[in-house]
Amino acid sequence: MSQLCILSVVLVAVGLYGVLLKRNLLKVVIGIELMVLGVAGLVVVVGSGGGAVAEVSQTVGLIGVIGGASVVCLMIVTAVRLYEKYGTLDIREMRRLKG
Amino acid sequence: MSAVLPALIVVPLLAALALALSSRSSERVADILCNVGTVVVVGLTFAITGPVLGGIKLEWFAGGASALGINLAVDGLSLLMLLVISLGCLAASVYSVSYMDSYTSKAKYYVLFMLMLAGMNMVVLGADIVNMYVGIEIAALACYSLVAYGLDKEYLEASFKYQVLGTVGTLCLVSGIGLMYAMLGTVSFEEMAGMGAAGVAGIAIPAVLLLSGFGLKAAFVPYHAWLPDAHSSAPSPVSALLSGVFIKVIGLYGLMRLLFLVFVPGSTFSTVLLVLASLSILVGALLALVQTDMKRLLAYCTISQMGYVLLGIAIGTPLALAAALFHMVNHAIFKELFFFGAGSVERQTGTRDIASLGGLNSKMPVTGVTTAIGFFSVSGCPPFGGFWSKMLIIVAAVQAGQTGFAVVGAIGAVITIAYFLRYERGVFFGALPEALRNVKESPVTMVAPMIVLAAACIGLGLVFPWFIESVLQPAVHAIMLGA
Repeated sequence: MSQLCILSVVLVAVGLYGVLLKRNLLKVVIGIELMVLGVAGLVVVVGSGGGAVAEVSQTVGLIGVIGGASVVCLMIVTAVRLYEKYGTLDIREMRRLKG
Repeated sequence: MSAVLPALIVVPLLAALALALSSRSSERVADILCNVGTVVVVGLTFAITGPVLGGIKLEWFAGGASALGINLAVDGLSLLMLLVISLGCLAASVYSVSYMDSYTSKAKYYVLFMLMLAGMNMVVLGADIVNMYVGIEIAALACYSLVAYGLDKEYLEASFKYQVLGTVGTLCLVSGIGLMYAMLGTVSFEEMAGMGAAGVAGIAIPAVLLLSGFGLKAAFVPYHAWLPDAHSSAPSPVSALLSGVFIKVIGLYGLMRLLFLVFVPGSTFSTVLLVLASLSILVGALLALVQTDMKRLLAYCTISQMGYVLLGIAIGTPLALAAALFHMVNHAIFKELFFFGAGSVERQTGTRDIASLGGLNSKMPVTGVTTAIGFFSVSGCPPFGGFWSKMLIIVAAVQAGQTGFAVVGAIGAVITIAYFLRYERGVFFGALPEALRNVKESPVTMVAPMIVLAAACIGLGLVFPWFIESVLQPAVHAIMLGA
């Protein structure tokens, strides 16, 4: 169980690295996908011991994966649209919005 | 009576389906379908208002009352949110009829609108945190698409930014829910209240995750980066819904539900909430001061006003909670009004830049007067609703011994007046630019919702003792269930 926990945390960390530091839109999307999988794994692993019923944790993890998959689809569509507008996927080229 | 609860989710979903199927027929069919859908949802909400305010708790289960089923319940707090959602959506759908004429494929817009409504209803109806999360996901997906609806560069960018940050928030929620379930063995709000969840060892870890998740959804400073872009990019009726209803439902509502279960007032967490609230009030207001775009200014104002609501929630006394809920309702009303006004100005003049507008009061009298009424409410002039709620929040802070935070609230109120005076002077007063000589008032379907909302701003200020006693008190009791 502890190895699986570590694996999940590593997945989330790698995903977060992609989201925060990568400049390519698709790499950001990949980062999000990795985070989704890591979080879902964590929920399932943590919920399989102790007083919890494993089925509920698995359901929560599954819902998380479904939600993540839908959002990733939408992100890819948005990224394609942005590519059509800008001709590049580089975030540094897309700074029309100020913070 | 309980059968109304699933209907509140199923009706908008069916309306969305019907709209999707009829997307090739005329736009009028889509207008009618969408408005009928929102009217039915309002009717269903009113049907359960009486019984719920009378103290009856409605429940509905599918698949057995287990954690895996669809469990819906309505108490005072859910009812208050349902009223805000359904009436807010009705105003926005009426406003959309004329406003969305300038966009293509109106039926698809209404489909997303209805999905958002269904998701928001599911959030507030869910009797456990998993159902609530599913609702958040549905509403958020529809919302991401609506932000990008104009398909311009900046809209797509804003939507992408929102998608990334929103998904990080959702993931915080999922992991928080998973860890919490592993510790408590339940996800139902009622059972959590019964077992004293706040005392369980290690609950701080899921609590931090849930706080970050809801914080990202509700855009408290420093989680606010996405909000000004997203709220100024969406079509105006959607901006109004996003600022007025959406972030409260998917962000604040969850915090309120878990307030006495996890973030107990007086604990370290409530101090964190207080600090987040004061940061939101001040940073939001200061950034609003320097905005040149009408809708961006309103978006920063939302951050600031949400700070007030969070301040009331974090103090956690019955008076503070009632004041926070009242300010939430007031904010929903005047912020929808402001965004409708900004949309009306943008549609008639073609610009949102405060510097290139001016003197519109003579050309667009209804938009001007209703926006001015909203301005009186947000800046806290008696007897408008915003005055009472802001004052009650500050009074509650003093009563609870949090004088420092009360001062922050008062300073924020002064800055609010400053940036809205700039907004009013720049758009509705002063000299009319030559280019705007031929501007006309917006059509009646856009003006009517604004008049109704302006009337509500005044009305709520006049009947506030009754409103707090009969509508807000049941909601406060529901929040304090776990105390």
